[in-house]
Amino acid sequence: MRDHEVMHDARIEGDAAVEALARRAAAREASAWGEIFELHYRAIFAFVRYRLRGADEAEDIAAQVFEVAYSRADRFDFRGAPIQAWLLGIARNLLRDHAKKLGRRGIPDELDELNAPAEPDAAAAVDLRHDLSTAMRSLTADQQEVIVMRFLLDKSVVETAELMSRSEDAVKNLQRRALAAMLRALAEAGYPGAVGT
Amino acid sequence: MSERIDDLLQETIATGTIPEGATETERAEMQGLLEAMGLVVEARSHVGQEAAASMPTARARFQHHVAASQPTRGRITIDAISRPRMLPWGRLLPRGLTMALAGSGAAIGVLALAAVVLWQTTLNDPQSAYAQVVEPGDYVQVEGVIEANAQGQLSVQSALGDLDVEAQLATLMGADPVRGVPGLKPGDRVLISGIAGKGRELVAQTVAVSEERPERPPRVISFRQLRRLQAALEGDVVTFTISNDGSRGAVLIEAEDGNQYLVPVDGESAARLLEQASTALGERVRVVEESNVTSGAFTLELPAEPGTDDRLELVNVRGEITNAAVGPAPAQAGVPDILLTVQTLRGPVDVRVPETARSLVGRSGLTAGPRVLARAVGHTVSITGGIDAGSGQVVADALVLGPKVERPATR
Repeated sequence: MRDHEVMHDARIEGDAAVEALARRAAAREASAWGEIFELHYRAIFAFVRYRLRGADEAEDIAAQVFEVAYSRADRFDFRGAPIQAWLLGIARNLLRDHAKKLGRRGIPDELDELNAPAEPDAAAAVDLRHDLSTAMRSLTADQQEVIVMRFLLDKSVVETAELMSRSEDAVKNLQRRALAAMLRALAEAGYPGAVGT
Repeated sequence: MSERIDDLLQETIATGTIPEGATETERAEMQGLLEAMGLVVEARSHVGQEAAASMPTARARFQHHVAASQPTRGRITIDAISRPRMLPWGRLLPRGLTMALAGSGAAIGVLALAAVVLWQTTLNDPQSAYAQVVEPGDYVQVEGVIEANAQGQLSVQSALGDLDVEAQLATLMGADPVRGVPGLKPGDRVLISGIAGKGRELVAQTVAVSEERPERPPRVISFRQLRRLQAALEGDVVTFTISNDGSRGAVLIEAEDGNQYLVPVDGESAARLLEQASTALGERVRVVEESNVTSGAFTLELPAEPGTDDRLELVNVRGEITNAAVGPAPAQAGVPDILLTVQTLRGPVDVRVPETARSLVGRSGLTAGPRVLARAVGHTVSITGGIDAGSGQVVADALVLGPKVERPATR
């Protein structure tokens, strides 16, 4: 990693602390990677959660994201993309590989109950999350991503556009189509709050 | 038209109200889309809770990955354990000498000396040995002596130092079933099978008890260069751990020379040891090679047959999994157990697999994951655990899955 590349990244993220963090991360400093983990784990977990069958799988994939990132630290070009965008890109690839593996193996669903939440919870909330998972899986990858970025990670349209390498108009259009598709899927699942359009 | 609707939706999301210029049709569409959005937002806090709950394990896994990827030079990969050997000058330094010399040229040398002493003290400390080998979520088998029992919270002196063992929900073996965990008393020798928690806490799944005094108390630990000795290193397993994902493990072995050595081992060796011996403790193993230079893990050579000498044992069930089903919902909130039927040489055995049990894919060819048991029917398995005194049912602590059983094709 050359110094000017690190400096450029710092300008993009608009934070001098990020510059220092990036520099240390590129040198594979363990403490820097500890900070990166603390800063981004929750977002990465949320990013993958509703595209997987349960929290355990989400934890596994999210942990893998950081392992892959660390392994490729020396190859990461900090120019033009914040660290989180890089991590999300790795997550995307891992999700794709995971889906392919599951497809090849034809994983059965008999033990779906294993993914039930462990804590006491209102039945309606459990139904909602189950239906939401089902609805999410009926969306295209781009639709899933825009839903997660906008409404789970609370990213703005501008941030989402940057993270998805799309224009702001494209993000607005995608979010509308994604919400409409989700509403249809929820209505098909009989979720009472969804009436469909 | 499409752009207008997109902008209307974005404005609605941003302001929380549908713009006045929207037509009735547009308003109806906005209402529906907002409902869908609301459902996702509603789930946000739950995802946050799940992320927070999973973070300690994921963090520990990542930290291990980072540590294992560090260059070998300068990293502590050898953890041989023997009697403590303090450097003689460690005792020669009078208290306050460092401060007295600060500011002089000699201070640099003394500080360096102090650093070496501190470094060696760290390595000699069993507490640090624990920290290097055991991570939260690891499956652990360790033997020790109870020092105190406060309503099921055991203080246990082990070869890895003092442990806090939560045993209230553990399956007991060899103890008075009526008195249960509260009946365990200081001085009892115990074999604990459980999962490592935070700090030095171990959540016991099974506790096997002997009221016999151990032949010798657990040793105090120090360290040596293991690499130089590994070619001839052979001994009995005193402590065994394997990580949650089965990728790494560690054994504490007692060698012929009376020293104890802490050996990081690859996941395959650890799984094979558990598969073959079930109660890994007491097994004789040989450190044969360093299988992965970058991770600093060694490979173990195992005996042809498991040991049969008199020792504390956990329950072992071996056979073919013929059925896997989800058990009844627990009375309190939680994940239901998995119920396995295992065809053994002596007939079918039902095994309850609680959420806390570790399922290791071993040489099964299966991919590790939360649903692996659903795919394991037809595979061989070696199960370590205890027996529930109330139901008489085998309760699994750890499972090592084996290859699928091949049967001749029927015509």
